[in-house]
Formats: sequence, C-alpha cells, structure tokens
Amino acid sequence: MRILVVDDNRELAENLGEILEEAGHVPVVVDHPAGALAATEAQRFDLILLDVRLPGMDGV
Amino acid sequence: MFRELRADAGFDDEAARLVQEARPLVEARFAAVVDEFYARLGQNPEMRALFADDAQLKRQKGSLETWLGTLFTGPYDEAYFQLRSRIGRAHVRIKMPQHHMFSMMNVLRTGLQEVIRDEAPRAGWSDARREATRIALDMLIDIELAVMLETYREDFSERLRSTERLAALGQLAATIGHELRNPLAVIDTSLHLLQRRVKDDPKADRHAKKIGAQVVVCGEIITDLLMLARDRPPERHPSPVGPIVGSALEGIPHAGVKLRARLQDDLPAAHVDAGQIRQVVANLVSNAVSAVQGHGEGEGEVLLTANRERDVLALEVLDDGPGISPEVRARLFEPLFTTRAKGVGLGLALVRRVVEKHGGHVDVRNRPEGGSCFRVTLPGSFPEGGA
Repeated sequence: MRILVVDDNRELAENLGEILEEAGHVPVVVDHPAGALAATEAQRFDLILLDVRLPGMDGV
Repeated sequence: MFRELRADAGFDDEAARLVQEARPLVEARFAAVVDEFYARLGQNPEMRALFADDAQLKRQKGSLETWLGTLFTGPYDEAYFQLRSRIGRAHVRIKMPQHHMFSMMNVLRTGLQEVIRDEAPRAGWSDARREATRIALDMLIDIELAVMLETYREDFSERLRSTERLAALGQLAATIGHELRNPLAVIDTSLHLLQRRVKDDPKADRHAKKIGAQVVVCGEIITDLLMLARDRPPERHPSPVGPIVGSALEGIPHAGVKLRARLQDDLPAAHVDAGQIRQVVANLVSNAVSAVQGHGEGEGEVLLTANRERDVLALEVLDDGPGISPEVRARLFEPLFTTRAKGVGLGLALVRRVVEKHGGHVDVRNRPEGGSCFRVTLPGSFPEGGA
C-alpha cells in the first residue's frame, strides 16, 4: 500500500514510516499540512495517516 | 481586628460595664431564651436534622447557655473574640448556612432585649439605665455577628483559593501531559523498531521489554494528569451503582486489607456521572486502604456502603486505621496536601471537586470505635421520587 504519514512531530512521523516500510508498505512522510496537500496532488495514496490538530491547518 | 470592631460598634468600657451589670437581671431567663432559639431553629427541617437526637440537643442547649453567660461576663478582650471565632468556625463546619446564622442571632437579640425590657422595671432600674443597657447589648451583638460573618468569609476565601490552585494545577498538568505524549510516542515507536533487531540477544531483549513496560507506566501517569486537567461538568445519567463500585474497587491493590462493599438491596440506578463517581470511590477506598495498611497488627478492614436517603445517594468509606488528627483534617481536601511519602495529594481534592459539582458534600469524621469514615452525599441521584 502507498501510505501518506502526516505528523508535525518529525521523529514520530519518520518512525511510523519505518514501521510501515518494514511491514512491506510504501510510506511517504511529511511533517506539515502543506506538504501533505502537495504530496496528494503529486500522487495517489491508498491510505493517509493524518494527525489531528496540526499547526496551521487542523486536519479536521 | 477585635479592637477595631469594638471601636466601630462604639462598644466602649462604659457599654461593656452596662452589659456585665445586666447579667443578674437576665441570667434567670437564659433557659427560656435558649428554648425559644431551638424552637425557632427546629422550624427549619434542614436545621432540625443537625440536632436530631435529644442528647445532642441537650448538649447544644447547654453550650448556648454558656455562650450567653459569657456574653454578659466578658472581659471583651482579644481572647474573648478568639474564642468567639472558634465557635463561629464550628457553625461553618456543620454547614449551617450563613443566612440561618444571621436570623438565629437575631432571635437571640430579640429574646434578650425582651428580657431586659420586662425585668428592668421589676428590678427598679431607671428608664435611662434600661435604654443604655439595651443599646450596649445591641452593640455587643453587632460585634458578635461581625465575628461570625468573618469566619464564614475565611471559609469562603479558603475554598476559593483551593479552587484557584486546582485550576492552575490542572492547566499545568494538561500542558505537561500533552508535551510528554509526543516524546513518549517517539520512544515507543523507536523501541518497537529496535526490538525486532535484538530478538536474538536475550539481554538486549530483556532491557527492551523493561523500557516498554516503563513507557506504559509513563503513559498511565499522563492519562491521570489529563483527567485531572479535564474539569468538565458531570454528565448525569441513570447508572447502576453496583458496576460503578465494582470497577472502582477492581484496580486497587489491598494486600493485608479486607475490602468489602455493602450496597443497599434494590438500590435503583443513580443519576450521576458514572465515570466521575467511579473515580471518587476509587480515590476514597485507595486512601482508606493505605491508612489501614500502615496501622496496627493483623488484617485491616475497609468497608464501602451505598445507600439511598430520599433523593440522595449516600456513599460511606469506613476503615479501622488510625483516624485523622484535627490538623490533618483541616487541610485534607487541599490540593497537593498529602501525608503519604508516595502520592501527589490530588486524590481528595478531586473527590471534593467532583462531589461538589454534583451539588453534594463530602465530609469526614473519626469513628468512635477507631478509624475514619468518609461520607459522600449526592443529592438529585433519584429524581423520580417514590421508593
């Protein structure tokens, strides 16, 4: 699965990405909402893991 | 302050002398004034409940007579008013509402003034002396009233301070809780990634597991902090009491302590916030268990009872521990006050907050047979009336 991971905590987002990678998925990790929007415009994802209440755009 | 009060009321040495010299005149009728006082008090059902049994009523009448005797004796110095303050605080403690205290003081005032009016001519007093004495007595009772009101004000500001402190603490707890969640999540996920690589190294694996277990402990502490911070009003729904009590007692370790719950038969579902009351029960019982554990020989005992009293759900937690000293009792519900080496001192502060948000009271007394009894009353728990 192509999975987009969005969390403003960079370390946490990276860790989640690594865990997903080890499980055989293809993660894309971003740590801000604008990056998430850009990523979804560039490619299609099967799943988006989105933290709520992100700075700037709250994701809700 | 007392000097100032006397000056404000105009109660000078001459006035003091007039009141003192009136003692022989009024003394014989103290008992009648006291009877009238308690007859009036008894007209209010709530107040009558405070003096339910005859023995207690008799004791109370005795202390009021003593109070009257002192009123006409003085000397009206610092020590006199200190004692009066202590008596005032006793009324605050039994939760006599301020407006009752006010009107009951007026019953005394009227009663005493009538006695002077009736008796002065018989004793051959001049009209001037009678009037001067009545004015002096009025001044003194004004001072007494001011002292009483001051004790109510002290109690009120203490509660306010306590609430403010709890609110500030809650904010701090919420911030710390949120800030710790993030790094903890990173530790947890990094650990997850590491653990796969150290599976074959028993020692590394053991330590990885230890870290994992401690991360869980940290997570639980953070959850507690956030619960404290979330100061939300109770959401009252009909909730069976049995399961509330059951789940509250479940998680409490009680080595060496016999822990029992006795619920009234056919106790209907209570309209309370089940989650909050669960926490109240858990905190009270957990405190009771700690009190018993450090005390005496043999197996200690903690008993929880739940009963319906009209629309009130009454919960009591009884233990056979050492009881509570007056000094500790005075500060028991303050946030951050604790007598335990371990513990932050938030449990009872939270209990009081939850109970008061339910419109109820929490109180503690020492049991005559030893140990203490915490009593929580939650009015409006059985709104439908009937049995």
